[in-house]
Amino acid sequence: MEIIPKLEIIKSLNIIQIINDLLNSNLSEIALFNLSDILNSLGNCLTESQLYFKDNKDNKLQNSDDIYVRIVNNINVNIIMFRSIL
Amino acid sequence: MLNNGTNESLSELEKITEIIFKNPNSNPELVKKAELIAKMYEDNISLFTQLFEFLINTHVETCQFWILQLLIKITNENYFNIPDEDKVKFRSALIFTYDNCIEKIMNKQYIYSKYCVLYITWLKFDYPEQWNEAFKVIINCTNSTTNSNHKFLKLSKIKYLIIILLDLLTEILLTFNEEIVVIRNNMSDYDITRSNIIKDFMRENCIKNVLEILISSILQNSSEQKHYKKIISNSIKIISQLIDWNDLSLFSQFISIIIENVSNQNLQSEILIVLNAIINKGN
Repeated sequence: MEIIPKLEIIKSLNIIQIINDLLNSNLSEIALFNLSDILNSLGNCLTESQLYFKDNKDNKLQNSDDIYVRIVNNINVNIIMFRSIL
Repeated sequence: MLNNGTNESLSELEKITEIIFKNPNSNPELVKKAELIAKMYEDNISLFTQLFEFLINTHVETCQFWILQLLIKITNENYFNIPDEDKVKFRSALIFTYDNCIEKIMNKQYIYSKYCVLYITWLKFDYPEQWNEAFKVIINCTNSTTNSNHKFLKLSKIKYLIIILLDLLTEILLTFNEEIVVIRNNMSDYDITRSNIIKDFMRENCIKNVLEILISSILQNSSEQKHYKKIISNSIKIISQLIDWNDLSLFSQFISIIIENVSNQNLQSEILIVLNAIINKGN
């Protein structure tokens, strides 16, 4: 799946907010592992986004750029929170 | 050697399998005899109908396991040597056991796991070219029990049948993912080609039916009920597996519903696997 539609889906499903909410709740050990997988996948998504934006500077990326910035900020916050829990 | 089709031969096989599975070192002669019997069936493919008869008639679990294992081996090694008319019989026997012996099959995990592997092994060779109804037929078995009026069965019995039918259906779909969809290093070119052919046909013809029954099993039952917890959990797992190779728009309505349940501790892990599948889609 291409990165731009994927970013749109991540945004539309509010996945970052779901992760934030879950990190503030009581999670089972297995759910923590699943969350760790999700953060890892988001990290890969981020790398893929960075490469895409680097290679496509002239494309119409205003909306996706906005999503991209949100993902960067939120993932960083989540990882810090996640590490503090672990 | 077994006498074809007699009760004595089944009882002999039951005794042998009970001994060799419980204490294989106790009697090397019996192990040898079991191997000879297996060889006889491998060399005379048309005798597989007798194996299904034994499977239907025996109540000895070790014997059920041994027969299923042998049928898997025969399928894997001899599918292309089985005449077309016997292939029709094989499919009918698979469905007959699904429909009529489900309580026996679902009694032990190691039995139903073997049955699932047999069903998917046969499907790998046979679907869709020879048997394009392989998924629809097991979905219909479950739906017909759910929707029909069983005047002669107690309500508790009907509920029990629906639960084990759904349970077996989800186990078969999980086995399908493991045996057909997941590409492993040791898979042959033939297996990879079959995987692609099977997935292509499913996308066009039956993925919606599969999703419908999974989603209805999730929405119509409660994960608080002990019997349904495993079925709902398996259904969500299967959906996460289907996301990878199917159009995401098929799942859009369902994804919103399951995300609403992310705080449900019973299903949290499975729902997170679905989210991960969405993020990983196409990677």
